[in-house]
Amino acid sequence: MEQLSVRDVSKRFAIDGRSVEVLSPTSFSLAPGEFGALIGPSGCGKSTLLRMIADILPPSDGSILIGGHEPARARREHEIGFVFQDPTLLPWRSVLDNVRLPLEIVGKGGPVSGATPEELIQLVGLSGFEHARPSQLSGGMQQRAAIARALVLSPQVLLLDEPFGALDEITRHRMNMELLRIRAETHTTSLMVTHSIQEAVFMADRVFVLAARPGRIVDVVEIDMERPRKLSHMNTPEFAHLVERVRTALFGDALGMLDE
Amino acid sequence: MIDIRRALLPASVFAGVIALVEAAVRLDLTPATIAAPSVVAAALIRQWPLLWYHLEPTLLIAVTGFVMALAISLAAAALAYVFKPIEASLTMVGTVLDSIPMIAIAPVLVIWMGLSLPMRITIATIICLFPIFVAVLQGLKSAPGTAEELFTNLAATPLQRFRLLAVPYALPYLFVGLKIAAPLAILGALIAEWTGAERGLGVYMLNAMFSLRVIELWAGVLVACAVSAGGFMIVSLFEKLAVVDNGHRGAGA
Repeated sequence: MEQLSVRDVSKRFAIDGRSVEVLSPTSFSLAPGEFGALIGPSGCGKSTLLRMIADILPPSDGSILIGGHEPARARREHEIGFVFQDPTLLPWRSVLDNVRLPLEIVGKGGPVSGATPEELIQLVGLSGFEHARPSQLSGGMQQRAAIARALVLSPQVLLLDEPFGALDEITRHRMNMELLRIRAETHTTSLMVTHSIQEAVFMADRVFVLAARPGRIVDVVEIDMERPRKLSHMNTPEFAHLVERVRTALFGDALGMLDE
Repeated sequence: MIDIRRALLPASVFAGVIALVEAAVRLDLTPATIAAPSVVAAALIRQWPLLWYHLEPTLLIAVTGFVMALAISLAAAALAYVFKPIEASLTMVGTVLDSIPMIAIAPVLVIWMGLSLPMRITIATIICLFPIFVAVLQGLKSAPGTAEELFTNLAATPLQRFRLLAVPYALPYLFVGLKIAAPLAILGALIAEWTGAERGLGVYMLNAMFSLRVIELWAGVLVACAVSAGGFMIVSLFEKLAVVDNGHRGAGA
C-alpha cells in the first residue's frame, strides 16, 4: 500500500482579486519507507504542496491520503512530522522541553511513542545539550533538535521544508548524512523540499522535479544508488549522471541558452 | 545584574551637571527660580514628613491605577486575540481614548465622579490603559509564522496555542508596555490631584507654586521623578525575573 498518495492536487490563491494557480493538478505517491525529494525553482509551489499534505493549507482540488487517511485525520492522529526551514524552537524552553512539546500537547491520551525524548536527543547527536537553550546552539544543532521534535510522536510521514537551506554547505552535508542515518533507524517515509540538486540526488529514492508558473511536476528521476549512501558516492560518474538528469529536467531547453 | 562600569559614565555626567548647577547658583549666575541642589536636598530631608504625607495618596492612586490598567488590558487583549473580529473595534476605542488629552477629560470625570479617590484612580487607569493593551495585543500576535504552523501541525487546542505559544511570546512585549505605563501612572495621579484634592504630591506642588516656594517646588519635582523612575525600575526587576532567555527578550524589548 502507498504510505502517501497525492492525486490531482492543485492550489489556487486569490491575489488582487485574481485567481492565480500556484500548483497545477499534481499526482505522485510514496511507498512506505521511501524518501522523496521535491526540487524546483522559487514559486513552483513545492512548499505549498508540503503544507497541503500536512493539512496546514487546504488544497483547492484533489485528494491526499496518508496511510489511507485524509490529512486532517492524519494530523489529528499525529501521523505527520514537520521540519521547517527555520528550526522554530521555542526560545524560552530547553532542548529537552522543546523535544517534549508534542508529547505535552498530545497529553496522556496520545499515542505511545517509540522513542523517548531523551533517546531521540541522543539519536540526533545532542547528548549533553538537553538543558541548553536554543540561543546557545548553532543553527545546525537547533535543526537537530527540530528533527528530534518532529520524530517524538513516531509519525508515519516526515515532511521536511528545506530543513538545511539556511546552513553552510559543509554543515549541510553533515546534517544530510545524519538525517539518512536517523531515517535508517526509524524507517519513516520522508518527503523533503530542497533547492539543491546534489542534495536531492544524494538523499532521495526518487526526485520530483517541478517547474514554476504554474507549479507542476515535469519529471521524476529514480535514484537507484545503493544505501547506505556515502559522501564518496558524490564523486561517482553515476551520481554526476543523475545530477545531470535532474538539472536537464529543471532547466529543459533553457539549459543550452544559459550556457551561451 | 547591573553592570557598574556601564552605569559609571551616565552617573558621573549626572553628578557633573548637579555640581555645575550648584556652582552656578553659589556664584549668583542663575535666576531666583533655580534652587541650589544642596538647598533642595536639605529641604527634602527637612520636609520629608510633610512630603510623605502628600506622597502616600499619590502612590496609592498610581499603583491602583496601574494594576487596574494591567488587569483590564490583559483581559481586553486576550479577548481581542480570541475573538479576532472585535480586535479592530477595541483598538479603535483605545486609540480614541488615548488621543484625548488627559488634562481635557479630567474635568469631565470630576463632574461625573466628584473630587474623589475613585475619580483619581480612574484617571491613572485610563492613562496607563492603552500602552499596555497595545503592547500585549502585539505580543500575543508576535509568534513567528512557522511556530503557528508547528502548533497547527501538532493539532494543538486553541487554549494550548494561547498558553504555550502566544502568552510566552507576549511576555517581553507586556514589559515594554508596563515600562511605559509605570511613569504614566504617576503622571496620571498628579494630573488628577491638580483638579483638586486635600492631599497629594500634586497638591503639594500646586501649593508651592502658588506661594512661589521655589525650593519646595523643586523638592516635589525631585520626588515625582524619583517615584517615576522607581516604578520603571521595579517593572524592570520583574522583567528580569519573568523573561529568562536573552535571545527571546531581544525579540520584544
